[in-house]
Amino acid sequence: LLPKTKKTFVADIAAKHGQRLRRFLAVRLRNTADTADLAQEVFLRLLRVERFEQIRSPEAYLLTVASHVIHQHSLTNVSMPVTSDDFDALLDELVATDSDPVAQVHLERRLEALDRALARLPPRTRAVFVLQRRDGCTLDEISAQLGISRGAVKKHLAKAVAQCSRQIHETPQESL
Amino acid sequence: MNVHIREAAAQWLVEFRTEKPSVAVRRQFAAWLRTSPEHIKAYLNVRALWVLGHAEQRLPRQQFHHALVTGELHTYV
Repeated sequence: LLPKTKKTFVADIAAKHGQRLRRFLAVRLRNTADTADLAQEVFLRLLRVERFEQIRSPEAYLLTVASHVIHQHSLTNVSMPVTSDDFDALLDELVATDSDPVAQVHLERRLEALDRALARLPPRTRAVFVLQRRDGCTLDEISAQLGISRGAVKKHLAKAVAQCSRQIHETPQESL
Repeated sequence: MNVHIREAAAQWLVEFRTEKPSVAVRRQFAAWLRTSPEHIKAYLNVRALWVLGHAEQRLPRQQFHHALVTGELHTYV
C-alpha cells in the first residue's frame, strides 16, 4: 500500500462515493435541502479520523458516519419525527400534571405579560379564560354565567390559551 | 411557530383539562404529539400558559370581582 495523506484519502472517498452519500442522506432527511450541509459534515468528520489507513471499506465507513450525523441532526432539527422510548412517560406527565418548575421563575413578571396578552383578547374570550383559570369556575358555571353553550366556552378557552401563549412565547423579552 | 399548531395544542389542552377524554382520544393526542417536536413545543407552551393563568389568582382583581357581584359583567364580556 502506498502511503496516502488523509486529505487524499477523503478526496478519493468523495469522488468515488460522494453521490452514494448524498442519496443516502437525501432519502433519510425530511428536508432534502439539508443534504449538502450534512454531506459536508460527514467529510469533515472523516478528516478528523485518526487511523484512516485501517478503514477497510470506505463506503461502509462513510455511511456509518453519515448515520451518526443524521442521528445528531435529528436531535436538533425540529422537523424530524419523535421516536423516543420515553415518549409515553412524557405523555403521562403532560396530560396528568400541571407541575412546571420553570413557571415559578419570574412569576410576577410573567403575570404582567399575561395581563398584557389578556388585554388584547376579545372581551368575552378574556372573561372565559379568567373565570376558568383564575376563579376556578367549571365549564357549566361559565356557560350559565355568560349565557353561551358549553362548547362555546371551550372554544373561547382554547382561543385565549393559543393567543396569549403566542404573544408571551414569541415575544423574546417575555419568554416563559 | 405555526398558528394552526398552536391552536391545535390549545384545543388538546382544553380537552384534557376540562373533560375526561377516552382512550381513543388520548391515542389521537399521542399521534398528534409524535408527529413533530413542534407539536410538543406548542403543547408545552400552552400548558405553561395554562399554569400561569391559574397563578393569576394570586393577584387581586377587585374590579373584576366587583363587576361579577354587581352584575356589571357586561363591561368585561
